[in-house]
Amino acid sequence: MHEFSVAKRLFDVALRAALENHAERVSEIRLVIGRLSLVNPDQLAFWFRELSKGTVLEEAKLDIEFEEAEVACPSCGYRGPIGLEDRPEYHLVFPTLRCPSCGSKVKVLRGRDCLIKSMKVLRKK
Amino acid sequence: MREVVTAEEGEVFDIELEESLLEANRRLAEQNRALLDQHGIRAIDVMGSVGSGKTSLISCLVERLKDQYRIAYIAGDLTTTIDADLIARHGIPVVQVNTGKECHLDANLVAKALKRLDLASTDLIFIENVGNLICPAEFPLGSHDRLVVVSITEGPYVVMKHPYIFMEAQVAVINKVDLAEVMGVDVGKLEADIRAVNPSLRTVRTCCRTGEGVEDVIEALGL
Ligand SMILES: Nc1nc2c(ncn2[C@@H]2O[C@H](COP(=O)(O)OP(=O)(O)O)[C@@H](O)[C@H]2O)c(=O)[nH]1
Ligand SMILES: [Mg+2]
Ligand SMILES: [Zn+2]
Repeated sequence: MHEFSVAKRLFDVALRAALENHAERVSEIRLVIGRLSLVNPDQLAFWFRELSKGTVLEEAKLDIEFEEAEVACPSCGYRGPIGLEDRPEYHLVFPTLRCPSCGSKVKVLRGRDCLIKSMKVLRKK
Repeated sequence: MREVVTAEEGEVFDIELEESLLEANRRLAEQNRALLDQHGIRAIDVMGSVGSGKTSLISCLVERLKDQYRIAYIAGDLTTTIDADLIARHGIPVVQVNTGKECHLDANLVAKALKRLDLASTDLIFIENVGNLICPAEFPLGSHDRLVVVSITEGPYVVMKHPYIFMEAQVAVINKVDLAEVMGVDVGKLEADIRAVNPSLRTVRTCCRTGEGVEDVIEALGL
């Protein structure tokens, strides 16, 4: 859905870094997508491919890693994976901000973002 | 920047970036918030599917609040001005933001809309996001509150299937309760699902056809 705008941002950041580093071409881009982020990796890759055609990013392989969601509870001090709510009658499991240990609302520490971690570039001698 | 391998035809470098792709929007959202705060304006981002009743709810709210606050309305729509025209009938300033094919409003579009409003004579802004239960969650606009409207006609799975937007909101409105019986939807169960996703979310039942529950929305928003 909004993967185009995220892909465009990815393209801009990667291209700027490639130019600043006098890259001949970029061979790999490492991304981290949080489990709570709504970015769909396949759609992101699709739009990135489209945008990068004819640029130094054209052959870059997207190496996507997922970041698990981690939360902290201000009420009881719980810190760990986000809680999951199971509705077996609907065959559905969904994440919840309810603290797995005391039920209060937790704060999300990790797993919400989508970031470009690093990239591998090739530079002519 | 550190060198990793020296290939025959050139050098391969690893460039560390650690840059968030969502950060640019977040920064702009913070700027919007600062601008709003500077003018003492409260802004409310109204999210929800197409047809859930966002415009109807805003219309009810404006009707009840316009003597108390100087209200403005920002309408995010793909291409039409239907909602903007409807709210403009209340005689309040309206800015239409056509998002084209975008599935959500972003902080940059809202920043542009704010430029077109007389902020010095505004107390309260309702921002109607693009009809979508998914994407707006990822793009904060700088509003003080985020309100999500779901309607009975979206069926019993709507909350479970779209938990993320309920994580980002402070108030949830279950609209079209007049249709609950006809649709065979258990409103109590929807409320339980909302609480399951986000225990601190205030949930209000409304029928924007009749205005039932709108006072409770006002209370939930602290207006
Ligand atoms: N039966 C019923 N219809 C409603 C209610 N609220 C809104 N509607 C209708 O639902 C349709 C879509 O409403 P609208 O406010 O335009 O939804 P939006 O797309 O979320 O802005 C309109 O035909 C409204 O008249 C309600 O509480 N009950
Ligand atoms: Mg509308
Ligand atoms: Zn706890």
